[in-house]
Amino acid sequence: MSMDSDLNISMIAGKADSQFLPGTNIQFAWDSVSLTSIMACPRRYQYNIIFGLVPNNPSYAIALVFGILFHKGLEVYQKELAKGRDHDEAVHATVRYLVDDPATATLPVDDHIEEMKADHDPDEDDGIALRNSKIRTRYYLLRSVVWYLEHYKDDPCSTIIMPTGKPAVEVSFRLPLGIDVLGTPLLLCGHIDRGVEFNDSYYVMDHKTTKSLTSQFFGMFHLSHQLTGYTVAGNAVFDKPVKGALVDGVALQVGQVKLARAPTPRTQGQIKEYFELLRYIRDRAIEYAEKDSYPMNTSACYFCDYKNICAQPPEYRDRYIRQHYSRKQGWNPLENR
Amino acid sequence: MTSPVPVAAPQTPDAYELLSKPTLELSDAEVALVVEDLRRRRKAYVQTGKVDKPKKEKVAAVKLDADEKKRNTQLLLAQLNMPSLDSLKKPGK
Repeated sequence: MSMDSDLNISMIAGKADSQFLPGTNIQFAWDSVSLTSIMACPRRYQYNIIFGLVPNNPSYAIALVFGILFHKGLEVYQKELAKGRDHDEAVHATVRYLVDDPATATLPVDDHIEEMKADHDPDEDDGIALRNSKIRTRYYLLRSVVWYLEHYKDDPCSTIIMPTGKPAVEVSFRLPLGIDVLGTPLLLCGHIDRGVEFNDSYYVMDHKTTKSLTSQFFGMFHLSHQLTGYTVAGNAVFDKPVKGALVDGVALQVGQVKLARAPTPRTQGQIKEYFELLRYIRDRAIEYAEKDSYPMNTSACYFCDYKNICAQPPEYRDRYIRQHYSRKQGWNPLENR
Repeated sequence: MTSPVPVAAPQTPDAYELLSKPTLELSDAEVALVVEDLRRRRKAYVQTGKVDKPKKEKVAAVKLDADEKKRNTQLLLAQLNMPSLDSLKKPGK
């Protein structure tokens, strides 16, 4: 599989521009988060991507911060190795970094979880977020990072060195795919966790935290549009024939951290289908924006962070949003990480 | 001759305690302790298969028997100037 050689890949730097065409809600810079959002439900896409609403729910923030710090830890380790440090030095530097990052102190300790339990109203929510927060304390962050690094001390996957000479770790990309959005090139954006070589093949590796590592868990990534997009991007960014993705599973459990990896390759036919999907989504996004109408998909509500808004009668929704959500700058695929 | 005074072994803070500090300001030596403790716990898990239990077990609450519960209730009622439970029972019961 190969990409056109004249693709203009820009590495993200500085303040992010808007992902929308000027003066519209028509998105031209897409990433897996915004694609997932619009594919699941146009109304969710409106609340999440266009309005930038974030639930005022501590568990939501905990999961986000934990994920960012876990990825950051693995990035720091790989970059320390690339500087010539040995494993022990790189592990110490990683833990030092995480302890010093102010975000780590915002993660809960067990006493905070007990307080959250006491405040939890079973009539208000089903407690899934609370249970997820229990394994996202500071201790569990550092334990998962250190156990991961020890487990993969002699990693059979080696990090790709990019044409710039830097290790392919947390690589941000903006990639024009030859698809047009009302005269502006559609950009596929994202952050590749790590580009690796394994058994004489190249892969994009994506770290996925979960509760348990099952064949069902790994199987769902064969249809992941995120990993198809990263495979496309990996070909261009690494200038290597990337075969697909390696799902790097990390199961966070109270008493242990379980680790396993599985490849999920992509064929040329699947890549072609992915491009068709992007064109379809582009057309829907233009249609919704031009009509200023984002219909609900009420068959996709169970895991939705915005379902309680939709459950309100339309005349009460603004007030409900003011009480339970914050309007942030909004998810922006062009934002630097 | 006096008997030797028992000396408690120095208590090294473990990773769980260090990471539970409110400010999370750790010295380099404390960071090293965190790394070593987490490695030790992983090694123990890999070698024995026993799950990691960082949290200290809480001391179980003392369970009161029925007589103690009754006595406590009587004391509470007396403080509130209320009749005892026995006096409220119907005759013959």
